[in-house]
Amino acid sequence: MDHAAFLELVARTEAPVRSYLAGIGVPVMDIDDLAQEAYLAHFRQAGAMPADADELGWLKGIARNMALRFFRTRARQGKPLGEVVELLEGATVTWSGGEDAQLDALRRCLSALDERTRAMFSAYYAEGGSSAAVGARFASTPEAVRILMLRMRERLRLCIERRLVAEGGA
Amino acid sequence: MSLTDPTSGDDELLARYLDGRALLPGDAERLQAVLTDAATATRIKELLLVDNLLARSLAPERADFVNRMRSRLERAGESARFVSRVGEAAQRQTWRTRGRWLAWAAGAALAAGLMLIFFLPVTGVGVVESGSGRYWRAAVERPLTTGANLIAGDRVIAENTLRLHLNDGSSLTLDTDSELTLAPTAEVAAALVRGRVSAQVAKRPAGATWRLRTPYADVAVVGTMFTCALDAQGARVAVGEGVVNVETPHAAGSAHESLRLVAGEVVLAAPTGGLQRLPADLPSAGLLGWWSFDEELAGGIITVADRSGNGRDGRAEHCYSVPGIAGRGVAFKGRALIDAGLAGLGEPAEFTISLWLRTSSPHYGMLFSEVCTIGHGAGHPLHPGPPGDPAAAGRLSAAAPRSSGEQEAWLHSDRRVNDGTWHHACWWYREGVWRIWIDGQPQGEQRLPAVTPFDWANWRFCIGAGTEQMVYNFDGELDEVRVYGRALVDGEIKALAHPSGRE
Repeated sequence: MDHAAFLELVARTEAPVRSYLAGIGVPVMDIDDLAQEAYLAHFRQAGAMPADADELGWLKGIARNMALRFFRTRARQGKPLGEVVELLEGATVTWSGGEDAQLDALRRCLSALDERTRAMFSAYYAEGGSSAAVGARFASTPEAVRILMLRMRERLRLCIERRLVAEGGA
Repeated sequence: MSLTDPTSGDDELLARYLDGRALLPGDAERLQAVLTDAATATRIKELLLVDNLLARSLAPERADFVNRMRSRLERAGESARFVSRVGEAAQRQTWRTRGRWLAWAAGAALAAGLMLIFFLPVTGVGVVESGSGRYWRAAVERPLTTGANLIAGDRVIAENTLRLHLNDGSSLTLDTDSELTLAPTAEVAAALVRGRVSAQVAKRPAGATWRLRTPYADVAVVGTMFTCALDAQGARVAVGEGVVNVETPHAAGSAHESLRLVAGEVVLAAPTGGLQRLPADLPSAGLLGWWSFDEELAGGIITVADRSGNGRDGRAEHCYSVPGIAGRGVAFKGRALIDAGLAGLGEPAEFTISLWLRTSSPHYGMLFSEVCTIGHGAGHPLHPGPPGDPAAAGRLSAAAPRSSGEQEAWLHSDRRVNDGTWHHACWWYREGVWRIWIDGQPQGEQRLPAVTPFDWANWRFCIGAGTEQMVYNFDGELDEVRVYGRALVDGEIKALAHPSGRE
């Protein structure tokens, strides 16, 4: 596979591959690294894929193996989360639309949040996902930041779901 | 067990899990238990997906996955080539001394080969004249100081300005953090990996060239001074004196291009954008922002660099790359837009907007608007025709800023531009006067009635879309959008419309 064709494949499939990794519990800060590893593995062993295989499914399979290896490493560090991969993988999400539609819905839902919460989200994701850093910046405790962000994510989840249903049915 | 009840205590568990999987002892087992409930598992999975969407949306660098993948691929390729070279060297050494090494296992032979590469006959190619850095040789990194000898294959990284004197009499000056490989092949003097290098090439025998390799092109030199720099846009070659031939790589499936450069600059767009000669006379004074869209845009949210040097990087949403007037351009369709990254510019008495566009659409579409305005209602939409006016379809327009309830004052171009070909368009404003140019030709002028001053203090400009409701989206392609904080003179506008050196 030449570079151009491979990068075209990346552009076409990176959103679902990264979404897949997120859905089985890979932390957002590690998703890009694992996805890159999966793509590189696929590039190096392009001939290993059966001719009739679904390329996205194949990539997800590689990504899954990468994720399991990642969780095994973390388990040795006292974070045994590999067991939840299968449980999460089996969970069904029925959101309609692709990532563009989901991002669009998210952006609209975010605009409904108050400014401070939006600023906290921005700080959290821009600064490497540290609730301690966000807490220090917003005069709060890491525990309070975690709970607040859980509640807000929950609100966003329901809002995105509503918007996707509304737009899917429009 | 359910996570829907905030009093259950499991909210804390889920909050820790979502916060980078910061679990306490026993949390993983509890999580497994709650995940056996299908509805709860779906909810948690959706929260994880929200987490991913937030990361993509709020950390823009995460959106640029394809470009980062390309860099990773290139690094992997270089690493593979290095391993291959080491393997070949090890094989040569094995043949030379096989009588003594037969007892060695294959793995040990490779390891020995890695060590013995130091003892292979090597070709010295130069010496460090000044500066410091590091270099890689046979998979070992070492410091590089003045006077150090360099051999073919050395990968040199400059920690400050590093000047190398090559045995053929040429000299290379690497900027800080630049990196190149010396004599990677017999035909190539150096390969620039990243950063910028200035070269003064020694005179060569007739017919002999001195070659610098970049990922995007080879620079073949016949006695000259030139500079080559790598950045996100590609490789940029500027000639100081003499003659340089710049060639794209001979790669299967892509056209080979060659350009003879006597003076000026050439950009070798990444990765397959071909060669473009940069004009030397485009106006730069007063440039507030310049977006050339040479990044690879493939939907999603991707940062587009401001090449003016003002750091006003933009944010492309749902945009796709197309061949542009120079390198890549950007296609707008549906909800695509670019937040141009311009904000807080006060109340300008004059400005100029220059861009290239291609469209076949007869429909109203905004090219440059206040769509991302923060708390401001008035605006100056610039677009091909106001809505509902068939006579204006396909023409470029400008409208005065207006107070609430007032009519906009429109200026329309004489010519239409929706013929499916590239046109240069320029909007010019100074002290209440609008002018429009198409392809360097003036298209009329209008003195506006008493108007609300342009208030750019609270604006955040968007390219290719109209309002927050995403209506009046432009349907077409744009390239080389420049915004100046001054009214350009006619000659400057013509230069933008007819850049020198363009075929």
